[in-house]
Amino acid sequence: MPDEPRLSTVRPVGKAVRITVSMVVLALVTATTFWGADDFFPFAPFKMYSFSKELDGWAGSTRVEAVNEEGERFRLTEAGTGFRRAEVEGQKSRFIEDPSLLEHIAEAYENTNPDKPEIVTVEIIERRYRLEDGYQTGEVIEVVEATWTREGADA
Amino acid sequence: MNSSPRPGSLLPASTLAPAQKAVGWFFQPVALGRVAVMRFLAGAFIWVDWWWYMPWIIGHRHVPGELYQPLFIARVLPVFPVPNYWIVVGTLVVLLAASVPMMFGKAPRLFGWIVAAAYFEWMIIAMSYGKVDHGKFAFLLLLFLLPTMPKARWGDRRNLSEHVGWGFNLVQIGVVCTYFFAAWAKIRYGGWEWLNSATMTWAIIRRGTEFSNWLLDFPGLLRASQWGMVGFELLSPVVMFVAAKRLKYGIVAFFYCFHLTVFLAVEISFLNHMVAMACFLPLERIRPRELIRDLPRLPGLVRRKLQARKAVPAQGGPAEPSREAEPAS
Repeated sequence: MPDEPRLSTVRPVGKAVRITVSMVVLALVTATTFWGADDFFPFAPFKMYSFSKELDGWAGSTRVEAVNEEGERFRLTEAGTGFRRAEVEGQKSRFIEDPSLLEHIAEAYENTNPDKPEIVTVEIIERRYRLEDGYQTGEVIEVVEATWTREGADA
Repeated sequence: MNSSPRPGSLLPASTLAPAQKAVGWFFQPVALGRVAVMRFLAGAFIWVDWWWYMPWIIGHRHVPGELYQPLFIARVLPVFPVPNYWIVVGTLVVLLAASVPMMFGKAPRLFGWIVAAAYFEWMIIAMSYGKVDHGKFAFLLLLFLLPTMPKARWGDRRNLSEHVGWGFNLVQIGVVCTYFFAAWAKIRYGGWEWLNSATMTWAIIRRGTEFSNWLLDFPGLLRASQWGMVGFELLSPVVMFVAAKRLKYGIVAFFYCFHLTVFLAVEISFLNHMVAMACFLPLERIRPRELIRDLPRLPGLVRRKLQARKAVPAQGGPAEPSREAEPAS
């Protein structure tokens, strides 16, 4: 009788196990929300855009630029390297501390684009917009936060 | 549990002990048809995800291991290798290959487990380079819970299951946690001043669109939207406890509208999350064959249905025709 309506129920032991699973998941995600960090992915705190930006201050926008062997300067985008802007920002303190790590972004670019001229310089640049009372004042500055140049290259 | 009636005995809901009601909340029966649709949606999303939604993940195949920053789980469990070209490509191939049979309900449990494991590794590859995305939680839960559910056919509204009800309930908990705890994270990381901060201004400076750039001239409006967002996030658990189906579907529709607005404003979409959220909806009502057959007549059908609804005077509890067993959620 395939057309007979049917309700399949969970036995008491199964219910106990399943409720425990639900509670453990809930407990883990609650705990990491209060005390955890991104490191605990997939139980990371849900902190999309959770940082307060001062109404008076600077709103920054990071980018990576490169200079190739032919002296051309261009932006290193996600499509060009497979390394995202947010990942640059996430590891920014590492790059500032040890700019030689930027060489690996150049490597990523060269792996992605084996036919293009090689990169001799990589820079992390932050463009900062001045805000006053939440309005853009039009004042903009650019800061080079980290630079790497290939040894022997004259850049 | 000694005083509880034997399973199978029928008691009106009002006489159930609160503890039993609470247990019942986890196991509200859901029609199997919904499982078939969710499997299809999850698989279809995976096929769109890698080249359109998150194409940057496959981009990690070219990124040197020196930029890999293992997550806690990868440091504790030694099963996640440092990604290289072949690990990234291989994971994707396994993921895509296994998601096809899962989508169409062929050995859905076996392939469901493979998809869940492969997508998890795919997420590890995605999130281990300095940025963790936060809209994947409910979708990961969905992938790991679908294989616990039985084989199912589209449009099956007759066979109900508590197993399925539990699984989707946990996915829904994941969806609601994503909203509710997002509010908490804002207070934790941004402090209460987040509400009046320039975060939305900053977001639009970074990734504004033609639909949202004009908002930069109205910082007051952006601040108000921040209050609105936290308000709705804190209220989102309500959706888990409303009994009226129309209200529940209305709240879910509101969630989808919120995501549409955010997408138009800053081009951030939580597509994984939105796929997982579909399990709130009575997808078991979709019968593809009838849908295709009726497609030419659809505008007329909708018009007639709306007219019929208008003709019925508004009343407290419309008498539902008792044609089929209906799930509780």
